[in-house]
Parts: sequence; structure tokens; C-alpha cells
Amino acid sequence: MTAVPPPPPAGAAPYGGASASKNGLGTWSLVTGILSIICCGFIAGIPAIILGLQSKAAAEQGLATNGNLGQIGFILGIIGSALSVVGMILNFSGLLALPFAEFS
Amino acid sequence: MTAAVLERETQTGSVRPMLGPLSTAAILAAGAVYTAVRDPYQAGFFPECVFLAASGHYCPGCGGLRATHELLHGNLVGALDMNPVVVLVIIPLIVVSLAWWGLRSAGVRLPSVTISTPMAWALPLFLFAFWIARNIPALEPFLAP
Repeated sequence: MTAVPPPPPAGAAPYGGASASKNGLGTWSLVTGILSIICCGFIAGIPAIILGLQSKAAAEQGLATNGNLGQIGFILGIIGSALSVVGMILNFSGLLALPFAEFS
Repeated sequence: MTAAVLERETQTGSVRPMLGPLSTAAILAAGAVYTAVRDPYQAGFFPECVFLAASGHYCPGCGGLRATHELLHGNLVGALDMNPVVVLVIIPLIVVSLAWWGLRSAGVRLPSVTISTPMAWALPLFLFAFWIARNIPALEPFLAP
């Protein structure tokens, strides 16, 4: 169900001879972006947005080959952050103070 | 070019490349111990879920801590009841990628994984589908915590 095995095509890029030294940015952006959706809202979402931006910048400078992951992490981070912030506003403003919420 | 050389140099011998995987593992282990010892069924030990509080709906991670708690107590069925996706997808994914990262940093020759764009979208899209599915009343007995 989840994607596992890599088809790592050797010609990894339209970038000529781009290095992968900053690929960690994109990977972590994706990881934190997913975390922001499944549990942690903006606590993971803001790092995802920052890392995503850094990853895209690194990809443009030829220091990363996975700016696509940075882009996805960036988007997920925005979605996760936005949902959690809207939730907090609704919750704490009392507009929607529902009595359940024992669990995280 | 120089970056590749640097990368290879940092991968041999020194402890430094292991810092990332080891500190990540330590943080996760501390969280796991806390989750195992404390009772996530009760309020007070963990922050409330804002999404559930605000909307009354379950997010894809809802029940994840309770599932982890059950899993750490050896109750697989109870864990699956709480959140099948966390048990079957998220936790294995964390364990495998952490082990992969650690082994590679330790100098074990494993292929580097290139995550393609469709692969990277697959999990979030699956999670969004799960998000919707577990809030459908007919499916709640199976998918909701």
C-alpha cells in the first residue's frame, strides 16, 4: 500500500551533474509534511514549509536532486498547518467548543 | 563533485554521520517509552487533539498513540482496532527507514533510495482517503478509534 522499492534511474535529473548533498532537506520536508497531516499540525507543518522552501532553493542551485519532495512537503505542511490553526481558532474561540477531545 | 567526496569522507570511520540516526532513534525511543508507561486513554498526559476538538472528526493519526500503547503492550488486535494505518504503515515505515538511514550512515552499503514524485504523493493521498473513510459512519466500527 505504501510505496517502497526504488526505481532509481541513474539519470536522475534535468540538472546537469547536480549534486545530492542537500537531499536531506527534501526528505525531511516530506516526512514532517506527512506528520503534520497525521498528528502534529503546525508543529510539524512549519518545519515542513521551511525545509520545503530550502529544499527547492537547493535544487535550483544544483545542490539537491529532489526538489520535488521539497515541493510536496511544502504543500503538505501548508495543509497541515492551516487545518490545525483553523481548528485551534474554532476551539479556543468557543465557536465550536465541543465536549469531546480527550484523545490525541 | 567535491560534495560527493565530502560525503564519502564523512561516511567513513567518524561518529558524526551516526548523530542524525542515533538522535532520531533516541527521541523516538523516549516517546515510545512514555507512551507505553502512560495511559493515552486518559486525558492529561498528552495534548488534546485540536482537530478532533474543533471538528468532532477523526484525523488520520487519531488513535495512533493508543495504538502504539497497545502495540508496546503486545496487544496487536487492540492496536489495529485503534488505528490500522499507524500500525501497518506508519510504524513499519519509520522503523525501516530509520534502520536504513542508520545502516547507511554506519557505512553499510545499501542502495540509496530515490523517492519519485508519484511515490511521495502515494502516502499522503492514501492518508487523505483514510481520513475520509474513517469518518464515514458505516466504516467507523472498523476504521475509527
